[in-house]
Amino acid sequence: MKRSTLPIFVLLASTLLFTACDTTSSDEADELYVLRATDVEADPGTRDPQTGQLNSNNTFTLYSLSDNDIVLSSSETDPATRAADSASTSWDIGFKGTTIIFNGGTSGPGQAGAQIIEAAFGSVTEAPTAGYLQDGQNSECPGVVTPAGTFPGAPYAICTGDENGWYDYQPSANLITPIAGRTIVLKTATGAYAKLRILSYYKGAPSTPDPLSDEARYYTFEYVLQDNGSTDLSAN
Amino acid sequence: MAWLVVLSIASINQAEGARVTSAAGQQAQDRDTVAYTSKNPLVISATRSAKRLEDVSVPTTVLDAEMITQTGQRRLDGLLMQIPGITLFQEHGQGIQMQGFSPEYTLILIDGEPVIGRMAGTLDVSRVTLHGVKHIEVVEGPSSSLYGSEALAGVVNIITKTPNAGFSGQLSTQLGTHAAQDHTLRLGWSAETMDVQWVLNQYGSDGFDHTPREFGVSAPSFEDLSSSLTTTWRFAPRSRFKVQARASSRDLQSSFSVRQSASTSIPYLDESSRQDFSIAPSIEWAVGSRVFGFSRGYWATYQTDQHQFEQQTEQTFYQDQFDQDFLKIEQQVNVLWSNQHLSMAGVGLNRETLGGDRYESTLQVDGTTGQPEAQQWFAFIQHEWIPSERFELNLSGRYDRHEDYSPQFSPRFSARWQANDAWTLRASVGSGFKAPAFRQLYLDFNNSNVGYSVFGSTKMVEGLQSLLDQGVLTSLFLDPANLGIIQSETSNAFNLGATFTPTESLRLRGHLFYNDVSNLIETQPVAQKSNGQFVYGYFNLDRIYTRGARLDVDASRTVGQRHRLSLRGGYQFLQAHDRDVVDDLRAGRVFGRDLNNRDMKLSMADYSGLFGRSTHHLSGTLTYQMVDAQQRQWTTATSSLRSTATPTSVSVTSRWRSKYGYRDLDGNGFANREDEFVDAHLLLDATVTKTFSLENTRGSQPLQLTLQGHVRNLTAITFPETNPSLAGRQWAVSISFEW
Repeated sequence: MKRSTLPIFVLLASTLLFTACDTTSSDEADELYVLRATDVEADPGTRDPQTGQLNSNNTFTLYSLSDNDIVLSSSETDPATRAADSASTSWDIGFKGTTIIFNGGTSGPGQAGAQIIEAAFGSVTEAPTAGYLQDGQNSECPGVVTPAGTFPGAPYAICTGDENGWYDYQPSANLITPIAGRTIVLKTATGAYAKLRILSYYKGAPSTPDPLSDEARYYTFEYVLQDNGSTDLSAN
Repeated sequence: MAWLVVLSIASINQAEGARVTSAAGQQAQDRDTVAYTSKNPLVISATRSAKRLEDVSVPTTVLDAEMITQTGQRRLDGLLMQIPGITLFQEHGQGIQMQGFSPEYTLILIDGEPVIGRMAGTLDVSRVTLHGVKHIEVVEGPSSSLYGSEALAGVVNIITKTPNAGFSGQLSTQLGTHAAQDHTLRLGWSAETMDVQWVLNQYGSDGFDHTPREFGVSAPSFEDLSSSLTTTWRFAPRSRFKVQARASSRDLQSSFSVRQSASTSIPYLDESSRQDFSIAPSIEWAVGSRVFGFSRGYWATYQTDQHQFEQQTEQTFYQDQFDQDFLKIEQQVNVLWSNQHLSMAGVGLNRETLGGDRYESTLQVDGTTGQPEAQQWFAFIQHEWIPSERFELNLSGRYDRHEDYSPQFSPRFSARWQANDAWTLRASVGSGFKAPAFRQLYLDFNNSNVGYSVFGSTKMVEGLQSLLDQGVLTSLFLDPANLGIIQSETSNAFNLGATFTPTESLRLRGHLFYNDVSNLIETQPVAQKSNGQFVYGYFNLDRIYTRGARLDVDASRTVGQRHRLSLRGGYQFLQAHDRDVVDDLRAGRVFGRDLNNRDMKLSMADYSGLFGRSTHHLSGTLTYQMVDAQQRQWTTATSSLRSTATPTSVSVTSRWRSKYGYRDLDGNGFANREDEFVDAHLLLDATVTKTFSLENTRGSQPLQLTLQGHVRNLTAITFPETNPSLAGRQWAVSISFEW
């Protein structure tokens, strides 16, 4: 397995992006930029080599798109802290393993909801005004096939399970890959429109992840957030 | 592109044999009555009767003994690769890809009888030794109208030699890198009414490993032993009785490792063996001058045994036995109505029995148990109309009826028109088919580790019923009662070609091909079990097309009095596309990811087609020979001896292919990203040959000593990860003594 130099580029690229964002936002307030979140932990843990069972906190990482930062990490286990943050509208999107939640409906007090649009991220230039589902509202989710049997899909806005939502699972390689051409369009906790694409589920966002050596349950994603209330999502 | 320059200045004498306008009866008239010329040999695969290569109306290539000698090849795989557009496909042995089809779509014949024994569809062509071979005929495009199943992409027919008059023989040895060895003894005897030929060949290698630091070899070590005995008795004019028996075995040792984590992996050893045997008695007969025919029988068996086990614990990881038994009886009659009309008709019967771990069914319905056994009968006809020396039409068709899949009719129509001395045009339209594979018909497989099940089409109804009775099915996706009978994979194809012979020393052959393939068989879940796993069945689902163009060059030139250069080679352009993918691409429903994992919409321009197919292939063999020979003569009291030392000849073979896809990383099912391709590459082989012959001036068979040196993959290009079976630079020397 060749070691990729990608993480360095990612760092450089994100630095450049944010620098660019800062310098131009004062001049042209309406211009939107693609923001990037790198290696957001989503309840990583260690696997028992004998049973294959994952030992983790079983907690979500909650993320704010407007701050482009983690509000509450899955590594935080203090129940009081977790409860306070979860019940706030300071976060928009949450990650635990392959499950993604939005701050709304059964997941939180915010207005967040989401839908998947079958298009490449770059070609989604306008957020639809309708079609957003909140967590708990989605009755269309197909069953989730697991080695232990098939279970009804949780009614999250973004369905869980192989091919049902944002990812594809290859059992032979034990590999999770985001499905190209599925863009998540969402409303944030405060009702702003955004689009989001997941780039990787593995630490360092390698272009050819190896589940045996690359650590899973780390999200790298890109998004465009429209905070002026319009549906325009065309970004530079 | 240097050879194109050579080509443009080329001018040679092309040996042009007498054109046989009416092909009739030539086959039965035996080898000696028809002059065999190297450029226009008699071929039999295109029409199932002897015909001059130039008179055949379907795309046919001949690889002759001269080419086998010049390139020093010992096995069929190495030789076939020299045809532009034919590439090797390493999967369960060396298979060949023709017109963009994977190996299961090409029929391999030895003297007209099918070689059996395919593993996962691949017939390992390295099983076939080139010793005792006269030439190889390759017919491209479907030939199911004459040969039935498997002749969908084309047919490769290996034509064996008949021995020279008197006692003859050959003893030859080749030794090379990786302890590669090939030893052959060939003995022949021929008298007025009888021929006997025996060939014994041993072939082996220690294998090699591109990554010695990791456990597991890149190519296994093996030893292969084969023998054939052919007896021909010419009992009457234009009639003969022939029995050909062949036996071979191969033992193979390999190793591999399975990664458990980033730092640990478990080493496994793999031991497998193969035995095959066949016997083919045939009678060629003639009644008067206008009616002749063939009565042929063929019985072949093929057995493999594979055992994979953990190196330390010797615990079995995988074990499989497979047994195939094939019996064929066939009768063919040719009638020459007039000089313009020749008809052929034939009927036959196949019976096939399978055994082995995967086919010993536990399902017992209607009293059928144990080994699958199936019968098939077939009938074929052909009519050739040759109104003039320059024009010819050929119409043929075959009907195949099998117990376990739907009947198949395969027609073919072809025409040849010689416009003038330089130009000949050829066109053919036909259909081909490939019968469902054994697993697709007869598999009865329950995976005990993971828990899924797979049933072949004949086992599906019973299989589902048995799972229902056990109460382990939670849902059925279709009603087993509505399952139709499985169909063969079929293609409709056309080939359109032209031959241009501007001078006697240059021949250009070009053709366009298009294969429209449907009913390709794929697995699909049919039910879900209570353990969450699925039950899979085989269905006619996929559609593909392959299309392209081929240009072949055959040129030679004598420079001054002494130097002769010859070139054989060509170019192929190929597209092999999945129709569903093409539809999705046109509708804008296909996406990919770049190396930074960013998604994007893909268009037709991003489509590389099926895996393992290069768009461009170039290949050529350039041979340099000095023409005059040094001679010495001795005269003794009783006879006179002449020794001839042929000056050294040098032959260089090159094969270039453009990049091809080998994996999909971004989930769209084809290669579109840089790291999903194997790079374009050029492979070079060279052979140096020196021949000495000692001849009795009274004209008996000369004694011949041939020394050769070979280097394969001169530039040592390897792809350890993507094509491990491609060895680096290999040297070999060989010595052959022929009398």
